[in-house]
Amino acid sequence: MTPLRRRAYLSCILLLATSVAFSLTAVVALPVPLYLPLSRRFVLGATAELAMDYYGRSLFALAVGAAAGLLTHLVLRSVRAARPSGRPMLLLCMAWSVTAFLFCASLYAYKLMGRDPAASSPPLVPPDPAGKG
Amino acid sequence: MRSIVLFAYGLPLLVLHALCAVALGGASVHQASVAILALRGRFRPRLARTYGTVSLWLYGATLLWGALLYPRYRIHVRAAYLDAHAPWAANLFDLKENLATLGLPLAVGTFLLSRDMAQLRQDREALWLYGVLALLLAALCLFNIVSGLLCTGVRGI
Repeated sequence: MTPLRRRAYLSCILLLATSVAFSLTAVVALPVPLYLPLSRRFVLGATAELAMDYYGRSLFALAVGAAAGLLTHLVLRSVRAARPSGRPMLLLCMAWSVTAFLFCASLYAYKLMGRDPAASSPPLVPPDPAGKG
Repeated sequence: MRSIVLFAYGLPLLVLHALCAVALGGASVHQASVAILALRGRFRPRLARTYGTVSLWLYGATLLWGALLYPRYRIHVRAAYLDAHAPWAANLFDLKENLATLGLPLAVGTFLLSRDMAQLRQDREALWLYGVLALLLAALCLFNIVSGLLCTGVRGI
């Protein structure tokens, strides 16, 4: 397998894994870290304070993509010679990756366009840890 | 409110973010043009390498500045104004941010493939992949630039 082919497969897997992981964060309640901008700290789990999940979701998806890319790189490096299969494997891989990317982008567009942002925003005042209001 | 991280650097960060985004828009569209030309048989190896490298660096920088600005935006723009008065802008901004994360593999992929145009010339499948990734990256960058301008037009930081 040529170095270009290795890089091409690596690019496809990177895109595919990141898109799938990012899609998962939109449909499954994964325990990603939440950033609390008013308290300036990260927490895991639900909180009454205004929280941002963007950092956690992004880091999770990019980490999954990087891990899958690293694994692909190691596997492809050990492949000494590609057997000519006669099938356009790279085009197939590209089709899967681009489909996952477009699906993920469409999923986020669908979820966000119908959202009431005020409903997901708690008050700006951080809760009193002593419980005195 | 002033306890928000990097609050004092909000405006310089926004200017940096915008400058990087505009430069990224130019680099990614040029790269898409180079890819389309290559698919039609006219190869520009040096330009492909240059735009691939520049796009990746600018993408990383734009994403980083944007991520650093996000807490200030979340409190002072979205929660304080957009949620109540322009929910469409809040949703559009969140879509833009999510697409920005999703686009990073596109920038990495075009960078990796643009390194060796001589091999791309002999591998039609890899050339198609380069073209598709470059076109998706350019479209995503243009969408994000327009979305960012629209949201900032409604309410800036």
